[in-house]
Amino acid sequence: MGIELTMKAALSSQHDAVALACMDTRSGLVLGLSLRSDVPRDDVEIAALSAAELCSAPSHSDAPDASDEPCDESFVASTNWVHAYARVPTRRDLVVVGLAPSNANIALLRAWLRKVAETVGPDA
Amino acid sequence: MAYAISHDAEIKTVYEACALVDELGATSTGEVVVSRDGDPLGAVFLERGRVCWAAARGLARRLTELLVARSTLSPDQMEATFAACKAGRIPLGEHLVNRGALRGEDLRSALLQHTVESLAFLCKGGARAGFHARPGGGYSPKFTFQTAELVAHAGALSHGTEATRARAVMNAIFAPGEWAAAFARPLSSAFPEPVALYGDVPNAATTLLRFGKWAASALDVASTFTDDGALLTVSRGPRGASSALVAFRSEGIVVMGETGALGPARIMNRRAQQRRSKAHGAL
Repeated sequence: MGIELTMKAALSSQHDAVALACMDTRSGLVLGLSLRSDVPRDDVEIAALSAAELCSAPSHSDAPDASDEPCDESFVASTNWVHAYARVPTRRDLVVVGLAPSNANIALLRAWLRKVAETVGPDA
Repeated sequence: MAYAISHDAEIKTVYEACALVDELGATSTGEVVVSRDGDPLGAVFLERGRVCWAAARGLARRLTELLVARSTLSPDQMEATFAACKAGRIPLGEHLVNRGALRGEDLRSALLQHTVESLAFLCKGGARAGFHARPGGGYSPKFTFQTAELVAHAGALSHGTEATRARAVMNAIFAPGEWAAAFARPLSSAFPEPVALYGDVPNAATTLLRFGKWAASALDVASTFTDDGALLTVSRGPRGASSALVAFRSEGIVVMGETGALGPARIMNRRAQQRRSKAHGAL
């Protein structure tokens, strides 16, 4: 199954989520994107394109040139939305991005996204 | 006995002076001599990578003023004690604490204030700084400072209102065992300036600033697709045993911290409560 179909199938399995995308942080390309109803595509794309910055964090190293390290998961909770990010375990340069309204259960959204990330590797 | 000079560098700000100390490493003991055009201006004394105090030409009396303001001694009594300690080569502050004339936390706050003022004075207009390794003076670690604390105190002196507000926010949101830092973002500065700290923050000013830059930059990125009140949470470490880095804006200040895995949920809850009480207060 191609990445677009994987996104579509995964999105249809989760009622809270309204968008799902897969971002290749190395090439800077959005590999797949699926939307529900009237969610603006541009907003989801921008959120996906931000994955490299938002799914990494500084290390505790005191070395002056220490760079940020990729992290497994992150999320951005705002007034209206939750954007959740999960790195694909078998392809660390890929990050799956899920979008849900702010009243969604964040823990469930993240658990679902983690499962989606585990299925994406072979398709990308 | 002659000691070699190392790490000769130009310093223009308190942060650059602290970055030089960080570069010297956690075992460095000695003094960073600061000069301009070959003329010595003062020195920063280090013990095992921590800053004990800074002395600047013309600011010696300032420490006495800061101590008098916090102690039970009159200015005359303080002068006499100062002279006696100098003659006997006894550390003045610790002598005052041992005599019960000054509380330990007041000595610490006076030394912190004096060290930061002296550093700012030494760096103003640019200066050269060279490190001279020397044997330690036996300073008590509780009266010495990590560079992160110095840059945050310097930031708090420059951005007092933001620092007060940031402390209130962090005290309300973070819990014991966690650490956090708040950063102002003045237009005149190339990087976010730490203004307040909570808990055991990273020791080095350079490391603290790296966290501040990350938080400010990540929130800027997030603001391209969401609102300014967003909370960013990044999980670190293996799943199930992870910590989380959090970052958010609060009235123009960038706040970031490190919490346990359950910290983000608690922080979201507390921020929601704060928003609700503000909304009710406005009605």
